[in-house]
Amino acid sequence: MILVENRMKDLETLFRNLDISTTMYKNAVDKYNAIASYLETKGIKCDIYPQGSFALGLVTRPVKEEKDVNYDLDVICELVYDKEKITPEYLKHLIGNALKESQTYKDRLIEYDKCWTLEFAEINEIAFNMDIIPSVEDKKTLSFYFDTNFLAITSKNEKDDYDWITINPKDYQSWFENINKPFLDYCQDSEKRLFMESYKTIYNKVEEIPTYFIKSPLQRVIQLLKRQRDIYFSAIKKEDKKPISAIITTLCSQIGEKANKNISDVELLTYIVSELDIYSKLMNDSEELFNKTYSEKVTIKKRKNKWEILNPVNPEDNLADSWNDDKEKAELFFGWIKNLQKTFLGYKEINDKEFFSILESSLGSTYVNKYIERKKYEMPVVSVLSAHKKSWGY
Amino acid sequence: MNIHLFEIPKLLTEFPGLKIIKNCELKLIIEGKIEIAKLYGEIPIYDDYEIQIEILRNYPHKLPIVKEIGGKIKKYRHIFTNGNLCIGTEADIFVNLFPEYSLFRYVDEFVISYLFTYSYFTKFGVFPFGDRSHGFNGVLEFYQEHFDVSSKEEAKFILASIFDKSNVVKMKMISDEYSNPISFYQEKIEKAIDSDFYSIYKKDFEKYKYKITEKRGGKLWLEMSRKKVFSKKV
Repeated sequence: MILVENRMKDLETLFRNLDISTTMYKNAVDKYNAIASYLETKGIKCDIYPQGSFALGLVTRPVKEEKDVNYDLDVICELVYDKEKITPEYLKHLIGNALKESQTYKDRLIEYDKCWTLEFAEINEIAFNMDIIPSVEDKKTLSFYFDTNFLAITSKNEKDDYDWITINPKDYQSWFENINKPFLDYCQDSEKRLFMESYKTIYNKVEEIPTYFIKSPLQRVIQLLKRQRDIYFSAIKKEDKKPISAIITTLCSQIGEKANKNISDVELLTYIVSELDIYSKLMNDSEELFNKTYSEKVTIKKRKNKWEILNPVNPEDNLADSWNDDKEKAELFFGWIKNLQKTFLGYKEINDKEFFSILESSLGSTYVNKYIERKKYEMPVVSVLSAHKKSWGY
Repeated sequence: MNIHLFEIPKLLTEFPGLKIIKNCELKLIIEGKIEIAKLYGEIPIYDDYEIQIEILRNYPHKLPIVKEIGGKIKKYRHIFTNGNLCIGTEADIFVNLFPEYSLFRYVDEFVISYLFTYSYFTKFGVFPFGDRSHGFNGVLEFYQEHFDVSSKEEAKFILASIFDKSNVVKMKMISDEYSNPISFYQEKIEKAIDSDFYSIYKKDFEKYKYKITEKRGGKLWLEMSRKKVFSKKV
């Protein structure tokens, strides 16, 4: 049997390779800078910057219907306009029409409800989509939050009408970075060294490494959970009911905040998953009993039988809103947590074949086989199932 | 000798855990371990099963009987009470194996798919490729896919019409009910009559004749007529 330490090493390897490559990162940054420059030539002054997982250092190779698919990278395209003087339709088409006039962009442009998506070709077999989200500043404030950076983005509904939607991604980023910083403080020197060793042909000095690539255990745990979520929900045929990334990031950060900061990826994963599992008691226990038993567990709440996971920078936004419309979503979420426990917390006790098989089933066979030598685990040759037949009972 | 039995050596080579344990005038029984190492999308399944396959000399007129003898498959909805595995509907198997009716393919596609599905089901609680309802409903589900129609009622109607051409009034009703032109069904029925699978349809029609004709002449048509009258009133 392979030593537990070696299994740990292999797990860490898998933790470290879920991200976009340095080439893709550079390519993406070059691309959105080029878009900003192009728009400027069209008389549109804007600031384009990463949003969501791209801004938080949490990009994870997505999976859909059992297959790896293109990365989606979100960028905000912020214009200096008075929101009250323009319509959302005007803003959306101002950007869209300008991009349609470009030979470079016109054939790769698709309109979605909240963004313009540019599909970029494959680099090393991996393509990516850049979602450009037109936005302007929104003067909205929350009574108990003084420093809010709200943006108004456009949203197109089924009737092709456009509305404004308010978001504050910069505040969320600051909140996340604040929690992530102590983790980074512990590991950034070693992380930079490791990174330089791997990419010495690309970067000459430590200072040249984009901050995006210096990752903490918290970031890697979130990436791993996002990847495992995609594979798991695809396997159980419930992709439309998987927990949104904002729920995973928020819960992991709030739980991680209380963890020891000098911690390995696997230890942090164990801690977070065990903590999340405690909340599964909310499925059956009354709110009163749960609050009495676990008075300090306030990350996921149930109030008057309604699930509540508040957006930490906008308490008006309940991230678990859809769980209240569809009860199965909460059940599936906690089912997923139980599966995570089985998957990652028992890895010391099982045999090599089971361990490798669990890794493949959790993170995807292609991905695991790319980074871990299956021979080492004495795995049999695997072939694609040729026929998908339906069993039948007489 | 039955031509299909010439494939037995290939079967034993491809599945080295299997061996012949009985070879008599009426049948051939193969038994042993089948190892599964198959990938579906990003999910692999590694498992093994002890199985027994009973192949009658008149295969493919009679399909093999497959049992899991290692005691792994328990309390599962696709196993007969006598332990035979419900591999698939006969028509599904026949149509897919047509025209060679390869025994090797029967095991490699249908038996392996069944065992893979069981392992996947125990791991994730879902059937990766869906499954069929029990009994006649499951048979109709196959025909619904096979005839490429949106409902089991339409599948049943087509199956019935292959053998009863006096269905003009009923064809009108079903075409109204499912908003398809009459020619949509006519073409499918004509194609089925000329098809290589005619004898397979006939076998199922005769086997389930009572259920097909009972519904066709009774409740279904009555319900449809009522709906039609009701919609006219509206």
